[in-house]
Amino acid sequence: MDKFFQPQAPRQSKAQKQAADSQLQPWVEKYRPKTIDDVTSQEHTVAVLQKSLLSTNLPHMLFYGPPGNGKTSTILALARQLFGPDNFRTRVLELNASDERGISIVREKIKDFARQTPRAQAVSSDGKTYPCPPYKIIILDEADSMTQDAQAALRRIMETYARITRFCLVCNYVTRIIEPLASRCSKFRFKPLDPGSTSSRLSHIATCEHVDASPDVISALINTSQGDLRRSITYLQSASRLSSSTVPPTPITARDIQEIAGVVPDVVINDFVATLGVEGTNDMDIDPSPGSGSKSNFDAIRKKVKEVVREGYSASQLLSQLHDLVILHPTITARQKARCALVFAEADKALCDGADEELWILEVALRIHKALS
Amino acid sequence: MSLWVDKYRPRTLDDLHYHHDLTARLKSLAASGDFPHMLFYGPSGAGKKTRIACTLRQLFGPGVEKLRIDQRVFLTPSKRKLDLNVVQSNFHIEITPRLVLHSRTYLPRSSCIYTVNSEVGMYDRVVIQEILKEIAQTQQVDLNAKQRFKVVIINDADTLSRDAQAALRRTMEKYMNNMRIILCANSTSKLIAPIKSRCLLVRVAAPSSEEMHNALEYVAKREKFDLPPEASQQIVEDSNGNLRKAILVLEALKMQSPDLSGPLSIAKPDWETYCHKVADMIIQEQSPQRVMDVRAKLYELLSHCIPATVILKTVAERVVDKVDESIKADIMHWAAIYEVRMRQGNKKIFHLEAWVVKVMSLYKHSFYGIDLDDFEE
Amino acid sequence: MAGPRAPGSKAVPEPQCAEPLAGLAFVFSGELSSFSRDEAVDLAKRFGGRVTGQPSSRTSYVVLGDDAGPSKLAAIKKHNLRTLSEDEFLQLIATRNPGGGELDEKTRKKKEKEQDAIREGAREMEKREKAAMKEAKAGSVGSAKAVDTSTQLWTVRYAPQTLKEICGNKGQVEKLLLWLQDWPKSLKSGFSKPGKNGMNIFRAVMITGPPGIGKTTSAHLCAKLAGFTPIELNASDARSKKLVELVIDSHKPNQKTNAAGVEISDKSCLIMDEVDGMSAGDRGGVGALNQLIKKTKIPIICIANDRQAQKLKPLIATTYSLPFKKPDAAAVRSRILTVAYKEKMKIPANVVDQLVAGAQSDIRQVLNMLSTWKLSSSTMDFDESKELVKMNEKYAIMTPFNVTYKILGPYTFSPTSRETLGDKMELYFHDFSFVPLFIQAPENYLKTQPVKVRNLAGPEKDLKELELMDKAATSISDGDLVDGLIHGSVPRVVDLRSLICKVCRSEQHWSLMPLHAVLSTVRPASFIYGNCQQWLGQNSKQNKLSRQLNDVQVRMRLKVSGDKSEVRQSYIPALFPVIVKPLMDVGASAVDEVIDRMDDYYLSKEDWDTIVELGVDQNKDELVLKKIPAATKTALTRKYNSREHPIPFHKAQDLGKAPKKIAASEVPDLEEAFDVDEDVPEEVVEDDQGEDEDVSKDKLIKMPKANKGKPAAAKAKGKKG
Repeated sequence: MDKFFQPQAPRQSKAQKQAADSQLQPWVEKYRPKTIDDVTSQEHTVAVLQKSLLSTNLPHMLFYGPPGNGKTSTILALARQLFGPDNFRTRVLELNASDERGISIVREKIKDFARQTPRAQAVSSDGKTYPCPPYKIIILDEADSMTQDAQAALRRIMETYARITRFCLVCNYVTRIIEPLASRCSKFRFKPLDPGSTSSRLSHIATCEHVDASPDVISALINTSQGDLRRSITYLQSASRLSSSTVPPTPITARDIQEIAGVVPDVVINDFVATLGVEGTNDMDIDPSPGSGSKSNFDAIRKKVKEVVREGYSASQLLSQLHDLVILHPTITARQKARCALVFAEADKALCDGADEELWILEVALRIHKALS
Repeated sequence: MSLWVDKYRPRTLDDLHYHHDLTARLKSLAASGDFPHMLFYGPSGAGKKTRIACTLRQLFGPGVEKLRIDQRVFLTPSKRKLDLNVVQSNFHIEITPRLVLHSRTYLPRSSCIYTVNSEVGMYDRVVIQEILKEIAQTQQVDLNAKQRFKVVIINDADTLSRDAQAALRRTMEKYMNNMRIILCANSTSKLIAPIKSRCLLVRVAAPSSEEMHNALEYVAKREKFDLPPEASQQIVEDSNGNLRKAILVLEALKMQSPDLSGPLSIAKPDWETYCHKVADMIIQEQSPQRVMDVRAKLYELLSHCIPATVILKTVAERVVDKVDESIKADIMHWAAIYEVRMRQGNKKIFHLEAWVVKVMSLYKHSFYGIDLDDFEE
Repeated sequence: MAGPRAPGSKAVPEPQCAEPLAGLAFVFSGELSSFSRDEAVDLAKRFGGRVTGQPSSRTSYVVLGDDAGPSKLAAIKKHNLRTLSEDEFLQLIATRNPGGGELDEKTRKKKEKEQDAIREGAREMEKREKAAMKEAKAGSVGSAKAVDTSTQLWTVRYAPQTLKEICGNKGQVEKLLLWLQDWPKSLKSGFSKPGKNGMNIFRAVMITGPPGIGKTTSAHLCAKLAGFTPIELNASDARSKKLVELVIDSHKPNQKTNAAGVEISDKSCLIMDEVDGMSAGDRGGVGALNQLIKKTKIPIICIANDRQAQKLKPLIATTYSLPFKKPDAAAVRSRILTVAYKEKMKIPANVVDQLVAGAQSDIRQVLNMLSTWKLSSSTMDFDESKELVKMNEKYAIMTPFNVTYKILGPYTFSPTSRETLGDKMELYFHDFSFVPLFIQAPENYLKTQPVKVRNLAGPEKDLKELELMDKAATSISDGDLVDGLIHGSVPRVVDLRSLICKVCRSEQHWSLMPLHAVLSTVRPASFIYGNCQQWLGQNSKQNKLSRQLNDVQVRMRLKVSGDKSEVRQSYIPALFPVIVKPLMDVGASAVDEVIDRMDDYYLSKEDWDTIVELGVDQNKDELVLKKIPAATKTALTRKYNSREHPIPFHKAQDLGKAPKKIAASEVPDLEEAFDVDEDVPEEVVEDDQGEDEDVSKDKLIKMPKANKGKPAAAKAKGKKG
């Protein structure tokens, strides 16, 4: 149909390509904070880093906190402000979990980079002046997934080249960083984002991208992503992509978001818990005979579990939603909740180990049923 | 003359029998030119791969059906050869990382002890990286191609090691320009969050009973015979949402009794009947001798490539059907426990057997009416 | 062997002096009533006596218990030896006081001589240390690294400084020295003159022997004495092919340093320590080393523990072997005594003997033990040494059969058993990959008649038995979990030695080994101890079938969307009635139809075999094959071979494509723990003829036609094949 276009396709001009790139660029990258002032709701950290920007003296740093609250963004923004776009490439080494970070890389690549003495400052091309302090920054993203060996190998490097190289470790779990490394860094904890700032950020992006996002959708985004801003933005992008690709573009609904996030619909969950003997929450479901009837409880539960499994929901998602429902349930006693919590914990561990999902959903269902009866 | 299940597999999005919303969505995505990375997930036999194939066809036209298998050989640093079979067309490539073979696996002295996962790659990461890089670096040569990008399908994405997943995540961003990745998995639980967040999640639920009836009837119509509703009902119940299984069973039944009337007995696959035998043995007698007999049978099943989890589940289902209500929950509980243990440990048989002994003990105790207080945790 | 009848019934008497039995030699025979044999032997040794196995003319006493061996009794008669009963033996300990006079002249002289030698040695050491200190002080402050000797490890401080101080292996050391001294000469002659020991035609020697007997020390000493500067590369240095090659390159005259930054001159001597420790991380290291040896211009000394090791095969031809043996106990003893004297520790000779024997003449270990001991105390008596030795003991290896017998036998767990949990665990460590399997093997734990249920009867017995079995099975299951943690998901076999090396650096929780031991072996056995037999599980069939199933799946893949387990669980049962059953029911006339079906799914005759083999129950391969008449089978084979078949793909080897090499740097850390056989470097060379992939693919690979009609495609394929 588009014969006109095809012959040109292989030798597309570069400009065209780049245009396509920016269109395809994930919004997460597109709307990454440009300066550390843009970083939302991490006042303490930002204040400290501001000072370091002025004095251009930086300690080794360890950023930790739940995912998607701006750890990587902060250090990238900081580095950009320190070095400017020209020196950024030569002065910053960013390695994350997808890069090879075994002991050999630490011994070679990181060490080599750390060893180089930074070159003298050149005049920035965009006319602005940058502090450009006489050291380089090595950002190790997701440092908690580095092997113990690799971390151990870092120890000496951090000390030996401290004069010309600063490290910034970014991780979710500070406990997985070996003690000697942690003690060499000043730690910054990143708090989970509060819903207010998340929603304002999301609305901002939605307006920029000309996406029609109702407050309903925004709140669905926040709920499904549990404070992880990156996830909410990704969901928003996927949803907008879906809605705009239909022939008459349809508005995004909260349900769309849930589907994209792989969240189990409330109806399914409520139906499921009803079988387990959990009373429906205030909106009384039309549930004629929960658990009773001709079949025994066991068979009823088993049947229900099979049904849910057939729907293809992810077990971990199902369990986490079940967990929220049971733990926040108004009428279940604390003791019962405690028992259920135990089951959830076990199941979560089992699923992490790759256990069979059906067996474990059944197991959880049976034990909740037992705990409640 | 293929089996019906392959003969009547839908080839285009329009041919699909159920999940019409999803179909519409896939269609519009394919048309939009902004095709994202995708992750198809859902139970076995729900139609994930069929949908992927249809989507590809929608994207590239019938050319994608010109498939060929290419066997790549990778050489690991330890001089081991890894064979990887790659199914590809001019527009896409499909890899199943789990099928990375060690063609010259170094079998250590006690190889009989470990179930050597000859197919596992601890190298899956490297293999994936190599292949993706290769694809990403080759431009679409076919001038008639409808899309600028090639598609890489990764089957069994949930069996990828964490390393491989981490590697994938970077690649997904890097080569967005001329490559799209479609992941196919049974569950998303084992995929790391960054991957999930980079893909458009597409859930393919198993068809409902009604949808399955329709599909079966469609097959029957094309084969020009009448499918009695009872037979259809029975097949649907037996197949538990697995449409592939249902159609295979339908064909088997048709061969067995061409008129499909009267009381039908669905012929179970050999391994399933064997599992049921094991279950019956457990219930009939509980003694050390019996445990040994059971073990022999379990060994046989395992050695004939029936996954331990499947064995455990099938046997457990059967046992549960036959025992007293009071111990059903316990049996399933222990099945769940030992299933995890199988994953964690190296030797499946230990755990299977431990479960068998546990069930025997439970059964015997309930038979004599003695409670086992130390079975509660 | 039954234990003593009344263990612990007799007290050990207080002797009058330190070593009442000094100068006496004992032989024990038969079972004593109060002490076990080991305890009795200990007693004799503790109080200064010697204990030998067989009575001879030099034996002072034979201690007789019940059921003494007839040969020993005969020997007693022959040599006319004095015998003692257990009580008399104790009496002897309590009353004998050898004192000055009673010790015969010879023994005393020997002792004195020994003492003198010790003092002499100690004095020499002292002198040297002082000299070193002085030198250090005299030298410029910056250059001389004046290390205070008191902070050095004992093993460093007391490393031999002269050839005389090396314990044992005198002949080998001299040979080594001679070879090094002759080196310039042999180099000039192009290694053609064998020389006195026949060594001078070699450019390298390989010293092999158990750890801690001074291999490295000897090498260094000899090198120094012969005027060479030793350059040592050991396991802590990376020694991959590249690095070793760098060393070669550095021989070019204009380059003066090698990779390790060490200066190289023609007066250097390369010592490759721990050659057998060249691991996967040092890929190709041994091969490169071998290359290096072939053209080196400096002497190379390789040091390894096990000459027989697979890895070292390439080196055998190019190096002269110098096996080092364990020094005899006497040599080690005098050395240790000297050190002890120097350190002002009061340790009697018999204690040192005990230590040396326990460490199996590993000087380094004895020194380590002593240095640790010195931290808390400067004297050591017999009991303490025994304790210490036990802590550091090296173990003899038992076969799995013995272990299984021992642990499931009736004695280990009986109430009278004296074995501690630790002892039982040791059993496990004899071969930690096998033993759990042995315990688990059917006749072992299921067939044992648990002792614990012997007193019960009826349903109670059944229940109890099941309960015990349950516990045992659970325990084994627990054990396997721990095993999983230890071995990780990648199965591999590691020998105990390399295991110990890895404890420190591996994340894989080797420290859980003891737990595994308890869970998989000791605990299950404790529930169901009884009599046992042996049986070894066979699992290789699964591997084979799994591989074959892979092939089937790959071939079917073009038509089928299922993965491997789907193929096994759904397709194979569905295919069975189509491609196997007709042969059973109809016979030879169905062959054509069957082959058509197989071609549809690209199945080969081998795959047909696999499908049959994968059957269980009523589809078990033996049953099925029995039902197919032999004529039909041959008809199938013949017809299949005579027809042409669509082939979905060709093996890459056939395509002649050079295998892709996975870059070495991209290997995960785990790799270090992997067994690598280094001796197959030739395999890399694949015939490199396939340049144009696409062409070959077009020729050899059949593509199903795009048309929906299948038969057309099949025909097209037939033509091409």
